[in-house]
Amino acid sequence: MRKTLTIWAMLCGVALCSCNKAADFSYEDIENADTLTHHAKYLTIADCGAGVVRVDIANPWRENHILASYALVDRDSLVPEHLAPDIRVIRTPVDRAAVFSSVHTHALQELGALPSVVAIADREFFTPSDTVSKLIAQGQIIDLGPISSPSVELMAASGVTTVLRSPQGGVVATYPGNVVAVECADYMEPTPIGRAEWILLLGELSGQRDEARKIFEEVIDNYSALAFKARSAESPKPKLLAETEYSGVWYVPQGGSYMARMYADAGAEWPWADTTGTGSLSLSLEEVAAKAIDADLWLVRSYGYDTTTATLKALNPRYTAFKAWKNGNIYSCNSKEKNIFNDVAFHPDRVLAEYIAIFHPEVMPDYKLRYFTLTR
Amino acid sequence: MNSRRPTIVSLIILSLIVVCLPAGLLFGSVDLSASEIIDALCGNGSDMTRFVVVETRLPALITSLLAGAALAVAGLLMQTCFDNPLAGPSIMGISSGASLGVAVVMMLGASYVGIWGNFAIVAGAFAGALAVLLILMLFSAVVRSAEMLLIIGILVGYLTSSVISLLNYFAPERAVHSFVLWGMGNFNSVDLSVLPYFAMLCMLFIAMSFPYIRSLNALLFGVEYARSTGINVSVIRTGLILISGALTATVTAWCGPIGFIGLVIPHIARMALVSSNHRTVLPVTVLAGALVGLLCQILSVAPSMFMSGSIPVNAITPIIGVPVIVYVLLNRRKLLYFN
Repeated sequence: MRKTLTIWAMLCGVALCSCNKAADFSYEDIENADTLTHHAKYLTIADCGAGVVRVDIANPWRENHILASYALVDRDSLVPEHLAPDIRVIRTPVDRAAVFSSVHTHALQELGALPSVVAIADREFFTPSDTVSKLIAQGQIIDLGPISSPSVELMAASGVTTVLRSPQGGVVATYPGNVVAVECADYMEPTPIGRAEWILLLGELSGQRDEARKIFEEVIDNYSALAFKARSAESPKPKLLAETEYSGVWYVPQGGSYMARMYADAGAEWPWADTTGTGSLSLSLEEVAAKAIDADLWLVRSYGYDTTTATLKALNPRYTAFKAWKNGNIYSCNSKEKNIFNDVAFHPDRVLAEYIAIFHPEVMPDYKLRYFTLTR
Repeated sequence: MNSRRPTIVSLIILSLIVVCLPAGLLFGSVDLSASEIIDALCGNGSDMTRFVVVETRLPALITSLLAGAALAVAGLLMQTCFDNPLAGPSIMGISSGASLGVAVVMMLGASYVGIWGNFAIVAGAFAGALAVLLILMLFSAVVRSAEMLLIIGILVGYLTSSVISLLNYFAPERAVHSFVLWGMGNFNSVDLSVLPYFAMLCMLFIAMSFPYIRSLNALLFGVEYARSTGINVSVIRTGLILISGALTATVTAWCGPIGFIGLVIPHIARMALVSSNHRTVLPVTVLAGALVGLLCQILSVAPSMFMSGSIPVNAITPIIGVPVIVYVLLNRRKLLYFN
């Protein structure tokens, strides 16, 4: 990462030296540029001064490689000349953005930057109560269609300049014209705080740096306090099972993932904590049973329907063999109705509080569950 | 033909099944000893070993035996009915119809899957397969030529595939992923509570094919010959399509569209017997289909001893199927049963 930053700094320095406003920008200045990110593994933001912010997004699927680099240039500043061709220039604050994930529209809304969003993709992932859905109904935001193949014509017609999307497998998106794709690989971060720090990127893009910083610092403070509380719990760590089988495959978070980290921070024993990857493991029912048939608690997330013991049994009668089922310790969340997917990204403290309240209720006596309910 | 050959072939296949069954119980991602498996089968051992052996491995093995036999019989009936060595359960569009039914359920009504569970998927698959079967029945009443009927089946298959593509295009990523996984085939989806119904349907439809042996043998000599023996060809053809359609629909509904078994096993049976006489070919097809289904299940879980997860059944079946089909195509003139 340091090597990349140096190369970037040299390029930026050369470029900035040749423009009027940043003529006295030196290599040393950029080396000493104020790095704004400290927790995210795949995101580096550095303020180069003169209205220029450098953003490097590391490739989560390829060690020591950069997925994308951007120069965020304030609208009132001059664009550095002679930038390397793989460094994309984005004028900030972005005024016409297409945002492909409700996770990011929610964060932009919190930053007060929703008016800059003119398009989204995959409309069905935005609940009817979501502000974005209302703006779509009013014609202020348009749906570009499926994320995998958004309508380029609609993108051009709506004057989109920047697309915020979640990259898959390290493939960088290219769109026609001058549309710049910002690769929001935040979901690949191994820690909840690392992922939450990506709100700083949204803050830079929307010109809301201070507000983003304030939100992030609050998250750190809350998260640390809650994790400390969970560590002080006197009740034993419950063994945890999560999710359900899905067309013959049971996906569970690997030990190095931010979800596994959250379970650990909330004081649970995660059966796959000894695995190292940051993604998910694809397991058979047999493998899950071998490690978690005796799990004390089971967290189930559904999408678009409420889970009951009857619906779970209908999905697979073999679930009834699990200890958590027998003891009635299944907590479920309809993630389409509740805000858990959006909150877990930039407000992991809220979700952590919920987990602690489920795993160690004595630590959070007055807490009322907001995402999960005990499954009946 | 050596009169003892069918008995010898059947005994060899049966003994292979007997050898493979314990191997199937032994292989899996969880390392269990033979004594632990015996304990679990006797109702002893830990909750975990009982669950793994009795609730997951045993139903999967029985499902693979039944599904393999059912698809093989469906393939045999199709090949004789249409006088085409490359006909199989998938060629008539029945499994495509089942896939369409599942695609509709998964992509347009994901919440129904949540509420009604696996039943919604099975019902969708059955509805899709039976809809295609109904279309074929209607055409078979009008179209007299077997080749034309085969072409209509293929066209229906293309049509359903095009609708599936359209649904895939507009469906959310999660639903597409779920559908893709279903399409890869899986013998683990039948649990102990469903197994009796699955077994009953498979055995019933397989048994229903046996009274057709005489007609199938007559069809081997051509439609005119069959007619001259007093067989009502359109009625027989309708019956054969119904049985093979029902077998395909049953297996596809629970296990997904399993490729190649129905196409390949009848050829293996004929090659092993050096005969096309359905009196021997049909029972051997049942046994060989069961054995190959079982082998596919074992091969799909075997890698899980070294890595996490099992590999899909449809990644295994072409490994067995393609060499046999290539051999059949290259030696078509030499193979006795085509002459």
